Amino acid sequence: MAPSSRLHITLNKSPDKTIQTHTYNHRVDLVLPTDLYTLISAGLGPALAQPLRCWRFRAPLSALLETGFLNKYIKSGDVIMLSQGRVDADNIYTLTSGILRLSLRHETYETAGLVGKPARFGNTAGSKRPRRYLVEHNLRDPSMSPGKKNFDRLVWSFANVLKDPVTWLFCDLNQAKMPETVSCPVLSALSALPRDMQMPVVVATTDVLVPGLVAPEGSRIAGGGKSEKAEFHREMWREWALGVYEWLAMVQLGATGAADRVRVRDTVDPLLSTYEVEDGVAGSVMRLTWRGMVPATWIGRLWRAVNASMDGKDGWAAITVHGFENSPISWGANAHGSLNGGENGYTILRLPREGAAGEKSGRCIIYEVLGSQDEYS
Amino acid sequence: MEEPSVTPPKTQKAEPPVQITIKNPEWGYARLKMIYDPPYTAESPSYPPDILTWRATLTMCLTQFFGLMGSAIHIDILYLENDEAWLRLPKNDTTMFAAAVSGYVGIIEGKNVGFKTLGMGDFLMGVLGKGEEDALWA
Repeated sequence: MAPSSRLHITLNKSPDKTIQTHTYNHRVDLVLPTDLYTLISAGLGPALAQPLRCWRFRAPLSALLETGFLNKYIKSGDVIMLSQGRVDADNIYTLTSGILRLSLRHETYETAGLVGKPARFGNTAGSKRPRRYLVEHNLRDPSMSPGKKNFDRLVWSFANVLKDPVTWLFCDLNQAKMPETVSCPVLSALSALPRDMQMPVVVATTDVLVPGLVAPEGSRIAGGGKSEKAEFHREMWREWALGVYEWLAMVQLGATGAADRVRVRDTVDPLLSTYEVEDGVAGSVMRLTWRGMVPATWIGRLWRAVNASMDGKDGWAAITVHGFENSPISWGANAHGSLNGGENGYTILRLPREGAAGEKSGRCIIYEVLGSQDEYS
Repeated sequence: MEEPSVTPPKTQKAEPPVQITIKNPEWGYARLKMIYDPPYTAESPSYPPDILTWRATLTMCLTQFFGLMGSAIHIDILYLENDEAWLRLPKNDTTMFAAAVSGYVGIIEGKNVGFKTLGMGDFLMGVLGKGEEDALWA
C-alpha cells in the first residue's frame, strides 16, 4: 500500500518552531470572526503597512556566483530562493541561509562534477543506483570565494553542465532595512519582476455556520487509560479537531467567499452532499489571503500582532500557511518529496476562552499536514 | 535570527505539550475539473456544469467502471467553482474513484466529457494548497 499523508495535531505548544522553520510558503490565510477583525484591524495596521516584495527572474545558477549577487545577497545579505520544476522529475535548486541545495536527477549528477549524496526521496529503497542526488554547499563559508578550489569547481559546473537558465522566486529577508525607493542594480540586471505581497485579498462571508470551537465536554486529546470510555473520549476529541480543520478549509475554498456547504441558507439535497457543520451557529467571518513567496519571519510577526491585539478580548483566529509543493525541503532541512501529493503546510488555531473566568485563554491547536514523503516529525 | 516568542506568557500552570498523528482519516478529498471536447463557449447555458450534472456524470462514470458497487460510492459535493468541483468521499473508496475518473470518457449533449484530477488527498486543507502556486511562476 502506498504511504499516505499525515496530520500532526499538537496542543499546548508554542507555534514558533512550526512557523519559523517552514521556509518556502506560497499562500497565507488568516480567518477570524468579523466583529473581532473590526476590533483588531487597526492594531494590525503597522504589521501590514510595511512593504513586502518577492521577485521572479530567469537566470542560470552561475548568476548566483557573480560577485555582485554573491556579496550583496548571500555573503552579507539573507535571501531565500527556489527554482521552478517538479521535485520528482526535474533538477530543483534552493538557497536558504546561504546554503545552496541542488536536488539533481542522476543523469545530471553524474556529469555535474560535484560531490553529493543520494537524496532521501525519489529513490528506490535498497537500490544501488539512486535516481536522485542532493548536493549541498554553504556559500557563506570562507572557502567559497573566487580562486578557492571548492568555489571554482562550482563555477566550472555551472558554466559547463548546470548552465540552463531556470525560473527563480527570490525574496530578500532583509528588505525591511532597505529604503524601498532604491532599486537594486543587481536585480535589474537580471530583469527581475517584483511582486508586492503585503496587501491581502480580504473576503467577508456574512452567513457562515461556525462550528463549536470548544472541544466537547469530557473529550480529551490523549491519555485517560485503556478503558473503552477513555478511547471514546479520545475519539470524540479527534473527530472534533478534524471537523474544525475541515471547516477552516471550507471557509478558504471559494474565491468569493466560503464554500456553499458552510453557508447558513444552504439547502442541498443529502444525495448530493451530507456535509454538516457540527454544532454550527450563524456568524460572519473574514478571510485575508496573501500570495507570493512569503518569508517565515513575516508570518511570525503577523501572528504575533494578531495575538497581541487579541489579548483581553474573546474570540478565535486561525492562520493557515501552504508550502511550495515542489520544494525539496519542508521544515528546516527536512527532505520533502511530492509523490502522492507534496502537501506541506500548517494551520494554527487560537481557541476561544474556556470557562467563565477565561482561565484558559490564548491556547492554540497546531495542525501540520505532510505528504507521504516528508522527513519532518 | 531569533524571533521573540509568539505565545503570550501564561499565568496558569502550563500543561505539557501533546501531539497526535492522524494517518488514516475517515474521508478523502478530490478536486476535479470537467473537460469537454469540443469545449463549451462561455455563453452556453450548459456551462459551467451544475451540481446535478456533476452528480449524474460521476454516477455514470463510477457505474461504467465498477457497476453497482461503483454507483454505491458515497460522494459529497462540497463546492463548485466554474468547471471545477471539490468532493469528499470515504477514504477507502479513493483508489477506485481515482482509477474511474482518470479513465472515463462519456457523452453530454453530443460532446465528449471527461475529468482531470487537479488534486487528491486525505485532508481538504492539503488539497487546497496544491496548484495554487502556479500563478506565482507565470
